[in-house]
Amino acid sequence: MLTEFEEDAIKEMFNLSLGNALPTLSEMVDAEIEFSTPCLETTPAKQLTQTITSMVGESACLLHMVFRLMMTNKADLPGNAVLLLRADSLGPFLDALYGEPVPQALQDQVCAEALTDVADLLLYTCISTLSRLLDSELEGNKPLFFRGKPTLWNRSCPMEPNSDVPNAPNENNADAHSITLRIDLSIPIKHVSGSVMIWLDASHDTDLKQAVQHYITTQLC
Amino acid sequence: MGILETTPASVYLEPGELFVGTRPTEVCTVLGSCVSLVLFHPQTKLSAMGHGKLPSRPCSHGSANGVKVCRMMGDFVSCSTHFMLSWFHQMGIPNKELEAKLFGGAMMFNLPGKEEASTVAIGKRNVETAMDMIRKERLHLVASDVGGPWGRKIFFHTGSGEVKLQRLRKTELDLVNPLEIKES
Repeated sequence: MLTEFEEDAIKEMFNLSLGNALPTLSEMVDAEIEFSTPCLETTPAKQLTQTITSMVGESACLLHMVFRLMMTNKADLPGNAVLLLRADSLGPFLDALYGEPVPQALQDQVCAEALTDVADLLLYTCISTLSRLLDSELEGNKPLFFRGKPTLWNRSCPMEPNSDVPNAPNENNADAHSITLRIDLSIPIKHVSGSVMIWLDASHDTDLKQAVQHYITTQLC
Repeated sequence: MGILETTPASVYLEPGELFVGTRPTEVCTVLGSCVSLVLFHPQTKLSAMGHGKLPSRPCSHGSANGVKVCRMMGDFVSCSTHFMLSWFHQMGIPNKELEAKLFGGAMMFNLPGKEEASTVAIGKRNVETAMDMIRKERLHLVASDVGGPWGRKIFFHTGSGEVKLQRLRKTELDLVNPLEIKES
């Protein structure tokens, strides 16, 4: 179990990381972005899709990046980063990206590719900063696009079996649980809202504890 | 202290050129759909910056025993990135210690059928290639400013790693660097 101080340290790292990445998104949509303070929960892996459903309902648009932080002389820290958009934000978000209204007929044609490019820059910059704070090396895949019912997401976006990076949280493993970090964001002038979430595998929480302690000793003390 | 030691040198990067340096310098360039990957090593202040016009081409980039200079290297995001990283490796600096920043790639997003379609494709492909290289080389991307319909003038201060960015309207970009718009 992480102590309250360690949880605060993880939240601060996430806040710094996303704070470093959001200007990228702000420039791309040419608008100011508002974002919440981070919240942290320890969640059994099987509840992750329920959490998403409770946030966005039955229709979600999400971009999923699997990553691994490779710590020197310590175990790797696997995780997942997700950009989650409410379904009703998709059209306004595309309009903001393209700088003009995107006709409904073209939205399906352009949305997967455009959002993947955006999420790649946003999530990779966020995870890069996290990785730097932990003095680790970073390995991350290109985000995968999913649109539909959150309950179908894990089955719809499997990682390739030969992938070098770890898989999404395994809902079939009853013991698996994750530290879930979340920041909600909105682009008020464009009527867009969503969240960025990071799940860090907490099944072996001594590895996570070591990583956080490294940050506390090198950056805070 | 002499004036040369207090005033950093200035370098202007034309499209297809790149810079590697060991002393404080202000490196400036103007970008349309081209991209600049800026690399900085905070501990030693060694730095590099490219101005790639095109994404990539088939090219073997040599080994860890030396630095290969490809023909028309600076034109391609892939070749110039390989060269810059090889230079850092020769200086004993691993990728994980570098800070990467990415700029440019204007007109990444434009609706199918628009007249700017070819420019769009180049800006988008330049950014995608740079991101693929960043991911493959496990670089830490700490900042980026890409896409949008505007050009960018960037000033990289190699002594501090700071990058200052100025957005340019298209007419302004035409005046500053007419070649870059046509070529990239």
